[in-house]
Amino acid sequence: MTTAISTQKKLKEPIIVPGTKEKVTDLVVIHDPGKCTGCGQCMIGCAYKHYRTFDKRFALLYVNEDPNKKGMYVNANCSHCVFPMCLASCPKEAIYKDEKGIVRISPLICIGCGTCNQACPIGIPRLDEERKVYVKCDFCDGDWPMCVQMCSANALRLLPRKEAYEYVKNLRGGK
Amino acid sequence: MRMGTKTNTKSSSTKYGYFLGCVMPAKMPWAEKATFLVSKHLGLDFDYLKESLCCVRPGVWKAINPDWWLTLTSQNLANAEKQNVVIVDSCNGCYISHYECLQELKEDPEKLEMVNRNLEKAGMKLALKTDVKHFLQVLYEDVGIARIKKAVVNPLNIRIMRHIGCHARKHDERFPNYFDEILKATGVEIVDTPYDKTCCGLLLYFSDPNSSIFHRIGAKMQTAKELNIDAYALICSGCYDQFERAVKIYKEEKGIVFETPIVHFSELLALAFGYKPEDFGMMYCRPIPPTKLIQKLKEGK
Repeated sequence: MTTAISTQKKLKEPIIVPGTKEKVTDLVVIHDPGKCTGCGQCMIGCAYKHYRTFDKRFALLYVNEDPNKKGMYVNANCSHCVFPMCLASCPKEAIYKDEKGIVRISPLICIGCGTCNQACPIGIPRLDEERKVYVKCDFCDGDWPMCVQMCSANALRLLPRKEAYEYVKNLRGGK
Repeated sequence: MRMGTKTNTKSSSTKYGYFLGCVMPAKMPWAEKATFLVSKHLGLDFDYLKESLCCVRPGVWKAINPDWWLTLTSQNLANAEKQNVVIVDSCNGCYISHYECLQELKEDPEKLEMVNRNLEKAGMKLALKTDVKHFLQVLYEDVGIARIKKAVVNPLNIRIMRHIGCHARKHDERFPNYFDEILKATGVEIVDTPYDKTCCGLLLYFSDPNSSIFHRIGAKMQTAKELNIDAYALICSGCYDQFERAVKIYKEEKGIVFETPIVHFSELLALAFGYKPEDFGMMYCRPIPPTKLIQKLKEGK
């Protein structure tokens, strides 16, 4: 019997990428579409954690029905990339990596232009319509992410980066 | 009353405390009765968990305040401990709440201390000596599929779709197989569809009622209609609550009437064990009367 409870719950020291000055989170959230039931609990938990509402439109990760496969769900969540395209593209340098490797957007510098959303391969940053700035996953400040805690079918998991890469590779049939 | 066999003898000394939850006593009296008929029939030492409180669904409460959730849920664990019973849940929400609470407290002594500090004010104490089991686990692991098959005297010649629910997949990948194997033991034909693992939408209902009703249950019930199946089998009371709500909303808002009866897993077992529908009130208190299903079973077609 596997339990999510015994997994590493907090970020540890960031991983330093060899040969670069880049640092990256030691854990990433991965999604298994074969397990996801589309319950939306990850988005609801995220929305409550960050906005104190159960309205899933406020979430910072996204799960939608796969238009090509009935009954299957696809997800988009931030991987806090080694070389984040959002960070590279920001014209105001509002996006930065903190000491844990978490990619963040400073709401005081962001001008809400949306370049980060366009640059991100999966369009993770979204506009906070009230504050007129872009927002994205902050890895729950390095704590056990609420989306993973809330996932009702163990489709979202927190894995060390290397293991996550292998896991996703296997899900894709070794590609 | 019953059409079939003698009651099986008791094989284990484990005492089970069945946690009813909130939906079953309010909306599923037939499921409650059928669960007890089946459990007694299989010789289990099975009774209600007494003095039980809300399971405190983690889906909401963990996000609000995990310490409140641990404290409130641990009251049921403490009661089970006092009564010397293993908690049995058939509602997946209740199961996950009790199970995760127990696991977290086992792994985190500081949280256990915090919980006991709070429980002390209510004159309770938790020593983590109890266990939490899903009803599927009790049937499959403690009773065994062989004994269940042996108890079947009236194989059900019907075609069903089934929905086990999200939370039964979370910590143990064996539960969906238990569900299928026990259902198959009753003689039913299980029809696979792309929507079998799709969430019922209960968790999403307060956030996005439209998707929750029309995309989740809508897809399931529409498929059931197209395939002309005889019944939709569930085990989770939370999922049933959502199915019932969706069926009513479809009728009121869209004028679409679904005719596939939504039945509890225990009802099918009770029928296969030889009990009659009237033994557990199968025809009452449900939005889709199972008249055609009962007729079909009586005719043995």
